Amino acid sequence: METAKKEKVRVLLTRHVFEGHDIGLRTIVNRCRESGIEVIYYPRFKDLNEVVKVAEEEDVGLIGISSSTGAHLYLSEVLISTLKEKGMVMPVIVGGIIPDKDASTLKGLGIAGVFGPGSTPDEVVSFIFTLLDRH
Amino acid sequence: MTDEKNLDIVRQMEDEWQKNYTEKYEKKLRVKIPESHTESGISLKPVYTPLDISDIDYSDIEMPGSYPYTRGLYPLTYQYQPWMTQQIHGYASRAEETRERGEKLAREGMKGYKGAVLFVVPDLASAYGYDPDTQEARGMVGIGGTSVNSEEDIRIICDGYDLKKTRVGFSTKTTCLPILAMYVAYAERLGYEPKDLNGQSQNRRKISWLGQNTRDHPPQEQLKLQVELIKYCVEHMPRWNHTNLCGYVVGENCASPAQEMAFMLSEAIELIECGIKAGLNPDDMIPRFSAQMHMGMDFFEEICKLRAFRKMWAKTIKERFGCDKAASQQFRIHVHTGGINLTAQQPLNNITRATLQVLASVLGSTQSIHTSSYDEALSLPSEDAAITSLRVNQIILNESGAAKVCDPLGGSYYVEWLTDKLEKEAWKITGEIEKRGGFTQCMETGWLWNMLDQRIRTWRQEVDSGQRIIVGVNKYRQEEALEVPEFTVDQGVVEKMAAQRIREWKQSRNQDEVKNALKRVEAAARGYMSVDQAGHLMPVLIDAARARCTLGEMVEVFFQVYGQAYPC
Repeated sequence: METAKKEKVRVLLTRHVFEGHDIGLRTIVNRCRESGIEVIYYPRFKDLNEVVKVAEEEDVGLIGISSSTGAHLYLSEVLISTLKEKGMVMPVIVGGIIPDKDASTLKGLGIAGVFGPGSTPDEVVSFIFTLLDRH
Repeated sequence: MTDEKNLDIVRQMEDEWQKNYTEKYEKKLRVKIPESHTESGISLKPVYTPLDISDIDYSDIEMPGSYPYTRGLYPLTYQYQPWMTQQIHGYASRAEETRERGEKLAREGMKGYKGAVLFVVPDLASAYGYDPDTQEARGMVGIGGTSVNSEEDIRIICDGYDLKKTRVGFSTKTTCLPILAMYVAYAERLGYEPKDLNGQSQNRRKISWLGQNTRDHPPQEQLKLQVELIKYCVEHMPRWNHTNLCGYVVGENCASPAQEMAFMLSEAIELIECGIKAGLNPDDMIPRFSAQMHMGMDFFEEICKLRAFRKMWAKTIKERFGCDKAASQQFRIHVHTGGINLTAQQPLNNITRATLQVLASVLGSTQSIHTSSYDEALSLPSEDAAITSLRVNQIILNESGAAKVCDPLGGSYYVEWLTDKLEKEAWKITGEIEKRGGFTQCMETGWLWNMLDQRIRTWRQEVDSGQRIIVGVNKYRQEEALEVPEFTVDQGVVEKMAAQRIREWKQSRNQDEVKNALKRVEAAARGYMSVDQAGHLMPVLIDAARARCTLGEMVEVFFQVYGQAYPC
């Protein structure tokens, strides 16, 4: 069966410089790469302008942020508004220790996908594929 | 441990067992019992007998309170005094709420041996050395802990406590020296001398740096600063535990018990050697090492880990460093139950996990326990969850009877065999680290990082494939989630208040004094080239704290002088 030649899916995965948990993020990075997703792994950012800049320079299709310390609301809010200021349309996903009750708040902010504890790496991968196919 | 005649009888019994086993399972039922092994990869048989421990000399086990302390540090364990329940806590805003939580836990029975315990976790901004009024701290104040950036914040946490009787500790990595300097300056203002103070510094930055993959100085510079703190404490603060050897963070990175033991011992060996170069007498320095060991779910191997590590420590201190002082050979253990074992799914199951881990710690004769709360995979612990963690300890102590006898598993064929095997496995890894240039060198080359990274990948594969079962996660799942009240902090409000407080603090100072003090810190830091020159930095840092320099200002100087590095 002939399929249309697709451009490689390219994403930016990152966490804040103060985030002391990265096992989950590294797991997602590995799994994405194994699944053929091109990952720009940016292991730490100091502020969200930096994230947006890297996303722009690397021409990624999606940004994923990992947070396990409770900073997810702040980070998401600032990232979304920074993207808006720059006029960039870019889906953002958030993972880590995200309480259930915050998932709807995050979606309300414009976060495309929320992956809290219990989400599997494969769920993240298939979400990225589905989302970026649609874009 | 048994004489030849008895061993012959055991051999006959074992042969009989083997026959029964083969008959029943292999011939009749035609099943092959799968091989099993411990977390550290030690292969297990289905049953153990005196034959398995016949080559272990009882002098390697001994009585509780006797070298090599396999069965406990003192002649009596919990019959004389229960283990300490030391819950770290720290959240919200303001130092006030953290203090309230601490007081609440104390009323509910949290206690050290002699008095109150104040183990405080700084928030993310403080933990990485940024003051709450800086750009870098935005969004990170009041997250994961409390804002501790000035002597004023310390005052709010400690005010009213008798600092001679209260054990004080701040959970710190890169900020370890400045925090201690601020605490000393605070205590001095109240009329205490450094020698009165009782508590601990974590001083284990390299392991946190590696395990949390965050910013610090290059490992060799970190090592120098660790030695500086040790030198100061040994010479001026004899009641202070200068270094917390941290297996916990290693365990949280999926290290096996044997790997955790090797990490701890390798780091200790290097620090002791450096301390000797810095002119310290090992018998003055070694008794003030403390430890935070990880407690995972492999129940028997974890029990054996505590027994075997005490033994390894005692042997190293006696044989390698020639120390005969009992306090040097006795390794006091604080256990932190595994955060990595907690699940967000069916969170009440975590109480069962914590119970097993606390029981294993008690059967392994620990001195002290922090028990993780059942909601920690979801949020910082709520008050209810934190109190339940204390109750786990109280039930084991008061209801289970587990604390009535010293080392109740001592002499178990399996436990003695596994203690011995695990010790050998840990020596093997310790030897490998030494062969590769020692602990700091193995951090720089990434060898330790790769070891843990491999474990993390394997763990994930095992969970995904179902080879490793985690109840509620990859087996016995429930679609409907239980509502657990989650603990949250109004971060924005907290940040404003903390920023305001530090601004007021900065305005209240003599700015010239601040500038000069920081210059002196910089000069001392630049002059500190190798560990044999230790001893000149802490005093000027304390001067800087006296001049009301903030945590962020002091840390900034260190980064200017020593640079920054990340493990990966």
